Amino acid sequence: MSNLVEILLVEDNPGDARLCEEALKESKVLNNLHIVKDGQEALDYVFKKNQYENAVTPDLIILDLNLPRVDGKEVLANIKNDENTKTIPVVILTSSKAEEDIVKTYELHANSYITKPLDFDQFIEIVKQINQFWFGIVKLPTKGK
Amino acid sequence: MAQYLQIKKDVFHNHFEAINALLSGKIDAFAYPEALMYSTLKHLNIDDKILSFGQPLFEIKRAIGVSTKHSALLSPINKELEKFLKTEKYRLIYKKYFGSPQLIQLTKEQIIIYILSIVSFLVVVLFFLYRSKILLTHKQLQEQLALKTKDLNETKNYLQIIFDINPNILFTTKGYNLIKPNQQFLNFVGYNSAKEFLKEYDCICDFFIKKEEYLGKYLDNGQLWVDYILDNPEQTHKVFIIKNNQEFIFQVLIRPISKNNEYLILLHDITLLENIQKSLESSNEDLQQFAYIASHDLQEPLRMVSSYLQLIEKRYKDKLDSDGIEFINFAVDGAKRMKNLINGLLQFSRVQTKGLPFESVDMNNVFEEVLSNISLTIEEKQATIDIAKNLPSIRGDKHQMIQLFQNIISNSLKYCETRPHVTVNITEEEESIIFSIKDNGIGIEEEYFEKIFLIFQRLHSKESHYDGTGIGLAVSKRIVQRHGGKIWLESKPNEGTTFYISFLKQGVENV
Repeated sequence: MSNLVEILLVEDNPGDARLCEEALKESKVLNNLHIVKDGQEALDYVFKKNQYENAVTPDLIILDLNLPRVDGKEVLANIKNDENTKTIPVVILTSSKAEEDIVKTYELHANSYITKPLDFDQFIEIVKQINQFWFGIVKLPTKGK
Repeated sequence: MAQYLQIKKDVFHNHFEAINALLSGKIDAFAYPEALMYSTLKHLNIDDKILSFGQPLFEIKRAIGVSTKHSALLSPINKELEKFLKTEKYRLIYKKYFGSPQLIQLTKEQIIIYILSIVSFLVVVLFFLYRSKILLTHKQLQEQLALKTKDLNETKNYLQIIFDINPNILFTTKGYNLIKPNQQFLNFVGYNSAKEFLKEYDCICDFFIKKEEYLGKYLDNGQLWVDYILDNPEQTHKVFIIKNNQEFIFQVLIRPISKNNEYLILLHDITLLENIQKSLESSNEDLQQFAYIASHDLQEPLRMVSSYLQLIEKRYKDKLDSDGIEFINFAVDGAKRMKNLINGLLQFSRVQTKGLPFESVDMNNVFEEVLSNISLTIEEKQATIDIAKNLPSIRGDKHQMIQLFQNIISNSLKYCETRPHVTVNITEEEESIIFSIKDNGIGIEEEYFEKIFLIFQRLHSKESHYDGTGIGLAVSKRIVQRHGGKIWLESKPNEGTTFYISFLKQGVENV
């Protein structure tokens, strides 16, 4: 099994993106983090289009909901509707606590929904735990090509 | 003639013996004390042989039969009889056969006179007896009538005044045609007479326009709005018209005037009120929305500030001098407090904006959940909490009910120097039920009774061990207000506090 995991972070707020990056640096799991800043870029990355023709299929996608251009839910729907990408775990990490967002994203087969903690330490801890959970605890299908 | 008259003062056993004696010639005449004699003589058909005399109705004890041959005897017989009647012998005979003293002998005229005088005497007595009463009643009736008439006139005047000064009172027929509008209504709608009005409108309900929540002529089910209002008198009904390009809103009341199948319609102009209420509602909504958005959107940048301050603190602590560390601490602390304030504001505005629709809430469940939510604190503080049994259900937002009582009970546990003891009771009043939450905490000075419910008001400094954001009671009050209730308290420093929360009974389902 490869030790280096590929994580795609879809986050338009550079502050949060950086915090994730910092948190993942502290994580025990060796990871390769790719950050995209809007929904369209995320779709291009996952489906290897335009500038991301040579992108590596991610092992985990961390997805914000409020995104410019293409909304997070649409990104999620596209990923989960495609035979080749639907097995990629998608974790929603958003500031929204709205019940309708939670229900809607699970209906679209999100793998988990997490509200961004307001507290810095908690934020770091949660990102670390996401990583730990998906790559330390969970068994995922062996990735195809 | 007297010398011929020989009277046998014997008595016959029955009237047949007497008749036989007369017919056989033994006697010429007899006196017999029975009315029966007359009918017997009639039936025997012997009128030619015996003449009968006497007045059986008045002198019922004497009847006289005289042989026709000797009718001239009658006069002397009667004379003798008159004499005989006065004798002791007659009295004895009479007594022997009838057992009682002789009847008073009265003539027909005498009896009539007696009866007449008794009757007239009675009438006179009765008249005098009841005269006062008869006259009094008559007088009283007249007085009462005068009073009633006065009352009636006054009532009529009152009614007329009410009818005149009230805006828009109408009387209609069963078909809701205008029969008696008051002048104010005619002035308002711009018609001189009811007739003119009816030329344009067949029915009073034609006059109103359907718009939004206001009733039009017909409802969706084809019912006339007037009928609908009569069917639902307990609700408030509003109708709407446009006059000279201006909109008017009326509250309508309809009452049947029973015997004529007519109706009284009262239109109360609430245009101004409605407009004020609408603008108030919308500005309130704007404010709520503003508070929510402001606090929600403020959170994001604040999170960045505090997160990166913490990151700097964590990562570059070694590179900073003591001043640098102190400054960063102030900044971190400030950001934390701001976060609490924004959170509080958000919570406060959420009571209205994010409240759930009301449902039946079992208060027993509410307290169960409260206790389970604060079970750690209860254990830590070794607190005793007694909650009354069999609490009612209340129409409300369950989540907020839990929040409300949790806030109050948590405060009781928090502001307490000994082992906390909290008692929750319920009392019932005429229109409301009241929850009381009594504790043995540090108490509150009376001057702060109002202040503690204001947002961000704290009675204890940040340095004291009673930390808090000053949001709990403000949110509690807002929740109570949303449920149409009231919250207040009684307290003395060092003697504990009792919070009271009342809910209107109409919201209570089974007390």
